[in-house]
Amino acid sequence: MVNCAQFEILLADYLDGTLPVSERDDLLRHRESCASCAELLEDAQSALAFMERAAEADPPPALVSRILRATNGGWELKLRSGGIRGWINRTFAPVLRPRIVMGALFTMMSLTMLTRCGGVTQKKTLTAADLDPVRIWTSLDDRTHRIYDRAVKGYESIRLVYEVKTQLDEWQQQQKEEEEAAADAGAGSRRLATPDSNDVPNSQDRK
Amino acid sequence: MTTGALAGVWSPGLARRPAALGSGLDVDSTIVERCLSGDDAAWEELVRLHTRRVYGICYRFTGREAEAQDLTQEVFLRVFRALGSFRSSEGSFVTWLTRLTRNLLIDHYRRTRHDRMTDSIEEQLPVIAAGFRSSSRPDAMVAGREASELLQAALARLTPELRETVILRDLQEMEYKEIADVLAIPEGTVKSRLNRGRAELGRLMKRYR
Repeated sequence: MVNCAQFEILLADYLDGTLPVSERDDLLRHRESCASCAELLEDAQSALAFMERAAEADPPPALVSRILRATNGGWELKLRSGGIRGWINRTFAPVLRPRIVMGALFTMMSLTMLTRCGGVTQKKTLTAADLDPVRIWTSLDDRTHRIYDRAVKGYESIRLVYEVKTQLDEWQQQQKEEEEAAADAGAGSRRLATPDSNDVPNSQDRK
Repeated sequence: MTTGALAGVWSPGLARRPAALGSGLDVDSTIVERCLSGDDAAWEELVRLHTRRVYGICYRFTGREAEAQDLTQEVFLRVFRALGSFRSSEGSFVTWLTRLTRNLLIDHYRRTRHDRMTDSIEEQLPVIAAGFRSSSRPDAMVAGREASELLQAALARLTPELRETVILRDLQEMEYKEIADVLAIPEGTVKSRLNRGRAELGRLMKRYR
C-alpha cells in the first residue's frame, strides 16, 4: 500500500503509462481511500487532456530570416573554423566582408568605365621608367588637357551643329516667306491685267 | 462552447509519449560540426530546425508573441557566440539549447518582474475562459487556438519553476533526464514539480469552466 508521498512520486509515471502493473494497482487503491490524492490525480489528468487540445505555438515565418540577419547569415562562423581555411578566413576577414568586397568591385568597375571614357588606354607592359613621378605627372597633365580639349571640342561641335541647323531653318523659313510673297504679288498683277466682266463693252452696243 | 473541453479526462493508456529526441542527436551534432568548420549554410539549417522549439518555449513562458520573438532571437545570438563550447559527448544539442533558452528566460523573468504590467495575461484568465466557454468553435483549428490562449493565461499563473517544468515536459515533450539536466535538479524533483504544476493547471481550469 502506498502513502500520499509515494503516490505523488508514482503519479508522473502513472500518467505516462509507464508504471508497472503492481504499483499501478497500489496507486489506484490509495486513490480510493484518499480524497486529496484522488483530486490531485483528477486535476493533473484534466490539465494533460486540456494541453493535448491546445494548438502549438508557431513562430511567424519571418522570424528565421530575422535571426539569420541578426547573425549575419552565420558568416562569422568561418572565422572561428580551424585549419588553413580558418587561418585564411581570419587573416583576410577585415577585407573579405561581403559589403567591402562588393564596394571594391563597384569602385573598380566605375574606375574602368571612367578611364575608358577618358580615352586612357592600358599599356601592355609596365617599366620602371613609367613609375617616375615626373613622368606620371606629365602623363596625367597631358591626359587631363587632352580630356579637357576633347570635351571642349565635343561641346563646340554640338554647338556648331546646332547653330548650322538653326541657320538652315531660318533660311528655309525666309525662302518660304519670299515665295509666298512672290505668289501673292503675281496674283495681284494678274487681277489688274484682266478686265472686269462688268466693264466689258457689249459687242452689239459697240456696233 | 461547452465545458467538456475543460473537463477532459487523461487516460494513462493514451499518454503522450516523449518525442524521440535521440534520433535527432546525430543530425544536430553533424550540423554543429559543419557550423564550426565554417559552413554558413549549416548555421541556417540549424536555425530553421530549432526556431520552432525555442519560440514555443519562449512563448509559453512569457505569453507574449513580440517578447517571445525577441527572446528567440537573443537565444540564437547566444548560441551563435557559444557554439564552440557545445560538446556532444556531454549531452544532446537539444538539451544544451534548451538549457540556454531556460537560463535566458529566467534572467529575463527576474529582470522584468518589477516592470510587468498589471494587466498581464494572467489577469485576463477569467475573461479568456469566459470567451472560451461561449465560443461556438466552428472548427478544430479555432478551438485549438482558443484552448492555446486559455492555456497560456493559466500557465502565467504558475510559478516560474512549475511553469518551466510543465512546458518542457508536456509541451516540448522532453525526457525527465533531459529536463533534470536542463534545470540542474534531480529527476524526482522534476516529477514532483510536474505533478504540482499539472494539478495547479487542472484546478485553474476547473475554477473557470
